[in-house]
Amino acid sequence: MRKALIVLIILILLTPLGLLAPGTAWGEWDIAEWNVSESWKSIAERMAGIWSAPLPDYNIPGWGEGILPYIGYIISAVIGTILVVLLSIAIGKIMARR
Amino acid sequence: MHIPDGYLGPITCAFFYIVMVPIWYLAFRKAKEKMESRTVPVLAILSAFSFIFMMFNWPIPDGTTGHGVGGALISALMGPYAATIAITVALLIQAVFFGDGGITAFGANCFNMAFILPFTSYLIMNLFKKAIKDERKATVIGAAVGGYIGITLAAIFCGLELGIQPFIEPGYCPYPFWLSIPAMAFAHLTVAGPVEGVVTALVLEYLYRYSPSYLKLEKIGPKMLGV
Repeated sequence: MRKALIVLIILILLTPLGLLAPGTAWGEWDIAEWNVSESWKSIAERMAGIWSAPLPDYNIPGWGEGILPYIGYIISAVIGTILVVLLSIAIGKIMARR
Repeated sequence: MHIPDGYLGPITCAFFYIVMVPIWYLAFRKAKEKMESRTVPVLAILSAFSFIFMMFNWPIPDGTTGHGVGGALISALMGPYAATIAITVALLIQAVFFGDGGITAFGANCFNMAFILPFTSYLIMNLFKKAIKDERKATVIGAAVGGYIGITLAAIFCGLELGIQPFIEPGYCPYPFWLSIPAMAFAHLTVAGPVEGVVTALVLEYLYRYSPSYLKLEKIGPKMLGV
């Protein structure tokens, strides 16, 4: 179990490698980039505005320059991992209760 | 494969939430039957692994990116229902805190990555176990092949969900299925699928060598797919 935690920490430190791939995943572009009429986009954008995440794109808002996005990515990985672990342990505890 | 808000119309979004409710319920109930407190940390580590693994975007030859999910690995170790729970948790945190995958599209994203992927890979792994005598070889190869096919199938479903929008709910994803399905299949057949398969095989092989007890965890899955 301790070994698994060390592996996770190493992977977290390596996550900025995931930022090097150029481009965006297919179908995850900004709606503004769609090749359709403005009225079509306005329908989709109304739905897209339903939620704004506090750390969009795994970065601290405003950290767009130089090395900052990479640091923001690691910080996001740390925060996300902690949240995932806490939530899955909470659910796991409920499930394991006899 | 994380569909953002605005890409799926409200009917499609509602449909996949409705489809996921019984799957989540069954996963939770089955896990409640079989989960022991000593395996809770394993589930948490695997969920965290899935979250981190999905942050590694790989370049696709067509200029887009793709990533593995870790669903085949979780499914091989703890069974597909456990994988549904672990991946749902990772997807929830991604959607709520990082805007990766929409809130409205959360049901559809869970259907693809937390249901289609782990259940497909589990079935394929068990078919290998039936065909190959050597348990270790069958598990490692079967889970890897299952991961490759499972993530590609999940991506094809994702492409289908996006690609039918212009026909059933105009105003959302404008790209038809004859563009979206080949694009999603291509990214996963060429890059994300091999990533999912190879990582699954490497981790399982490592565990067989150094921590074989992790391969003996009770699998939480439907008997039907035990083959």
